Order: sequence, then structure tokens, then C-alpha cells
Amino acid sequence: MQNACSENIGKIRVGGIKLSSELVQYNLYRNTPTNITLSSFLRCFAENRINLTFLSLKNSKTGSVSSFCVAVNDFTRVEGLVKSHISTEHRCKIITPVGTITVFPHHHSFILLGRVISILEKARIPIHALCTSLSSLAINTDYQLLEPAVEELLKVLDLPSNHAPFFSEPDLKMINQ
Amino acid sequence: MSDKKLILVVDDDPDLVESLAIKLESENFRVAKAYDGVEGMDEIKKERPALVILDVMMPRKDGYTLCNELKNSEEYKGIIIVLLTAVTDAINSTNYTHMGGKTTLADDFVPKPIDLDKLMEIVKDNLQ
Repeated sequence: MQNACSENIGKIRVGGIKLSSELVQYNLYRNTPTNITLSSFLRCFAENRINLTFLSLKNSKTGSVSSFCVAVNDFTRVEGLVKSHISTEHRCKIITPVGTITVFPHHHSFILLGRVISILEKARIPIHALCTSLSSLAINTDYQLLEPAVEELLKVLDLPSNHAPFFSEPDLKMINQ
Repeated sequence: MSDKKLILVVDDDPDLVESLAIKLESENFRVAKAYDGVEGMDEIKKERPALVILDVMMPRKDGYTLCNELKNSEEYKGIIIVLLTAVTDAINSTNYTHMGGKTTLADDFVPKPIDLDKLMEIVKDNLQ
């Protein structure tokens, strides 16, 4: 409880921030909740050694939304696969270029989630997708806004003194804090 | 003072670090975490782990550099290092291969994707 209170007053302590290279985000919308097409996509991507850096699925009674990201260099190959897999039941939206900001660890903190969404919204930085994994909170935004987004996040997040937000491979690049 | 041995996991993939931490803690080890080579070195100085599970491809300071720094240091050369290396047929455009890892002074090597059972076997064998 004390931790929760101190989080409300000051910055939230996290372990680090990681940034992706340039990505293409696909959103596939379908009016039925089943997602058999996505399974065949995933198999196809694995066979073609295409790395999915981000994947989220949302199912409801009225339909499903699958969002996934691939590296911009894989865009041409993925475009062909998507065209050969989607049916008329699907609507496809492509957002490019996007980048993923990974904040870790999230410690299952709703306060962290709220602060991150709130600060990005205030700065008018779009959130194209958001999901959590075992330890990370991943947010997709416009690629060119990654660094401004980190600047905003650092207003509410406290990083270890020896950590600097970093780009993941293959584009190793440092951001000076 | 706990008699559980301390293992430091250094990798720039936070989910991998967390997964390994959960597994190692379930095997009765204590775990420290770091997300690049610089943070890894700081943790080593602070915590003195018995063993380091070290990724090779990381920002700021890669695993090879950190491994060689430790093994060339009188103070830290006794720390056991297990390198996580990439398999060439999975990643063909990198220098951070399993073969590359074998040229370092690391005590053991585990290729990625990681076989957890194999990794636990290596950790336990090296800490006996």
C-alpha cells in the first residue's frame, strides 16, 4: 500500500525501456470471433522465417481484431502472404512505419499502465496497439515519435541510473538520457 | 544470509530474463537481472553471483566483451559464465554465433532458442 501511495506522488520505478526498429503493423478485422486464419498465418510466417515482433488478439462476440508487426524489410514478403491468406470476411489496415516501446518490468501495475497511457495521450502521441507480456508493457506508436514518446515517458518513469533506453537489434543505437 | 546460490541473468529481452528467473527460482536459486553488458558488470560488482547466464548480442556492451573482461580479471575470473549463443541457421547475418561463442573464455554455451532443461542441467553441473 505504501508503494502504491509513493507511486501516486513520484515517478514509477521501472527496469528499463527498449525500442524496436522500424516496423509495419497489420490490423486484421473479422466479423466472427474465430481466428483460424491467424493460425495459418503464424505457420506460414514460421515456415518463411519471418519474425513477428508484436502480436495481439482481441476476440469479442461481435468479431476479432488481430494485430501483428513485422520488420519493414519483410513488408514485401508479408504483403504477398497476407493477400494469399485473407478472405472477403476480413478487413485489413496497414500502419507504417510504427515502432514498439517496451517498458519493463510492469509488475502487473495498473498505475503504470494508466500513467503511460495518460502521458502519451496528453502529448498527442498515438497508441496504435498496446499489450502486456510476461514482464513487459509494449506500446506501438509512429516510428518517428519513438524518441519524443520516450521523453514524455521519462516524466513519469524512473530508470536505473546505469540504464539508457536502447534500440533492439539490428539497429543498435543509443538514446542519451 | 541465504545459502541459495545467486545467478545473474543478462539479456536485452526482458521476457526471456523473466522466464529464466522464474525457472531458476523454482529450482531454488536466487536471481539477479540485468539488461545489457554495462548493467551486467554493475550487478556483478554489487552482487558477486556464482554464475552468469549471458546473452551475446546486447547494446552498449556485448556478451563477448563482458565475458572476456571477467575471465581476464583476477577478481572475477572464478565466476562461471554460460553464454547464450545464436544458431547460424536461425540467424545467418550475425557474428554472435555458437561457433563464435566457443572462441571466448566462457565456461559453457547454450544455443538459442534455449532448451530450458539443457540450460538447467548446465547450471547445476557447473555449480556442483
